[in-house]
Amino acid sequence: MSAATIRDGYNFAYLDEQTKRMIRRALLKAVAIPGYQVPFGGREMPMPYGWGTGGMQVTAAVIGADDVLKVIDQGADDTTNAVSIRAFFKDLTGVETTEKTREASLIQTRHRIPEAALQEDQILVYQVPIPEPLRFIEPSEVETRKMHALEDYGVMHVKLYEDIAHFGHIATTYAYPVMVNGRYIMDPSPIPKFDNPKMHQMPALQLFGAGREKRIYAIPPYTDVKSLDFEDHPFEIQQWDESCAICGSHESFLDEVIMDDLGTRSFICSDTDFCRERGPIEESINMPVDTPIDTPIDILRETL
Amino acid sequence: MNAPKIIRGFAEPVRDSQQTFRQLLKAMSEPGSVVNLTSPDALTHLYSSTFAVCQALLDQQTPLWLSPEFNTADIRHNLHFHSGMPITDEPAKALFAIAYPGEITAMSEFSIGSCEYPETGCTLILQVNSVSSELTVSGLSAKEPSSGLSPLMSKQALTSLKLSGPGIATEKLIHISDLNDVLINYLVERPDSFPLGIDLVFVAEQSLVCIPRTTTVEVL
Ligand SMILES: [Zn+2]
Repeated sequence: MSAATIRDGYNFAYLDEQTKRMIRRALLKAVAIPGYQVPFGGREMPMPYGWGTGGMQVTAAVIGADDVLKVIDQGADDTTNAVSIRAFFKDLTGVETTEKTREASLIQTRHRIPEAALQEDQILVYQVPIPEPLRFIEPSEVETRKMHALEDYGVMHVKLYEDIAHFGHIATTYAYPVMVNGRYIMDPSPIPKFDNPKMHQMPALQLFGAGREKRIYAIPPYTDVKSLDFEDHPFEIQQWDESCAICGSHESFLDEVIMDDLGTRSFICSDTDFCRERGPIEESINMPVDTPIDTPIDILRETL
Repeated sequence: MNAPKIIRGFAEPVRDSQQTFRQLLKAMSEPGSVVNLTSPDALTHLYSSTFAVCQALLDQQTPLWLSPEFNTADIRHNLHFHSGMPITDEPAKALFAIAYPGEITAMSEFSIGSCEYPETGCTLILQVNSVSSELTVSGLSAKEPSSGLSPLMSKQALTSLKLSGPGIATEKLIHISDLNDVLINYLVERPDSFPLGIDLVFVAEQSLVCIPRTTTVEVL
């Protein structure tokens, strides 16, 4: 291990060993009880909560010198949040980093699951702002814990059904709740529901960290993850009539962007590595100067 | 009585704890996968692999129960020196426990957690002579590296288990030595309904396999 590349005076990956052990014990129980939120304690990361401190704590407890780390925010490796977190871990662990999904052993993400299918022995770490899927229905932690304990999830179905009554369909498009291993209702973090099916029977290990509420949860590889729905209103993912203006993809999650000063609108892949790997369909595309990125608060439960 | 001898722990605790934890994370999230781990020295009859698990996971916040075979002055003294965990006489209060399978007379002695806090269920670490796994690929079976299994060892000592559930694509076949009826019944009958339960870690001399509470187990 290249200890020389770690910043002087800091522990490997920043956290002290006791905090890492607490998080590691919580992670082992989290994988043993898929979808259940395990409380954890310990030291904080040196940044404000909106920056994905929970995901960073999980990454810090898991990462080793042999890992290859990728960090994405909204699917992109080059946003401020992703760049900062990547630089932080490079500085404090010396690990190799990559933008290529296939080459990463550890991927920390905010708001997306990569388009490329993840493989066995890869670990996906999600940054979670609000871990409790029942929180917006029931503000009391004591009550939501009881509801999970008793598998008393009627209120969640009522909320989704009210959507249908009101909008004709389930209006939730981000942080769409899932049932893990037929037992726990879980918040998949504010990923688009487009990504929900990727969680089901994923060969990679999925870990979730919520910094403010200090909760860790997990989905082991090859575990059933079902998006909640009703027989007469089955779960559906977002679809676009358009295809990516750069690579021509019809299968990926697309962001609407403004392409030029005239306000011409177009759609491009939100997963920049996926788009780059496919390559441009033609040379003459004018890349947008700036892709608008919502803050976590903007996107957080925007439909609720 | 001689003062207990302090043995060496991890050569590089930060690195070695992380590597040991990653092996444990793989083993617990992929039940039936055999992983390798070690520490420089064994602690009398406590394997170096078991000692590695203790160094990686235990500290002042994790009450540990030691079975009579492991509750020796040497082991207590060294575990306390390296990890500082409290040793409890009451298995029900232990977050971690170490024993030989043959010493387990009732699984009900250990905590299964509560419905509201199921993570307080015990992690029971059992030292065995061997753990090994087989991958069954379309009828063919390919042995994964096993450990500690001498060719002379009686086949009867091994129990073959078929595992399925979270972490397992279809099913996994593993062989564990020294299991007794109490453990086999617990694994097959699953008396505690999920999410309650005890997570089992079977440790051989240099390798380990986990069977968490979610795994469905069939004896072959
Ligand atoms: Zn594209």
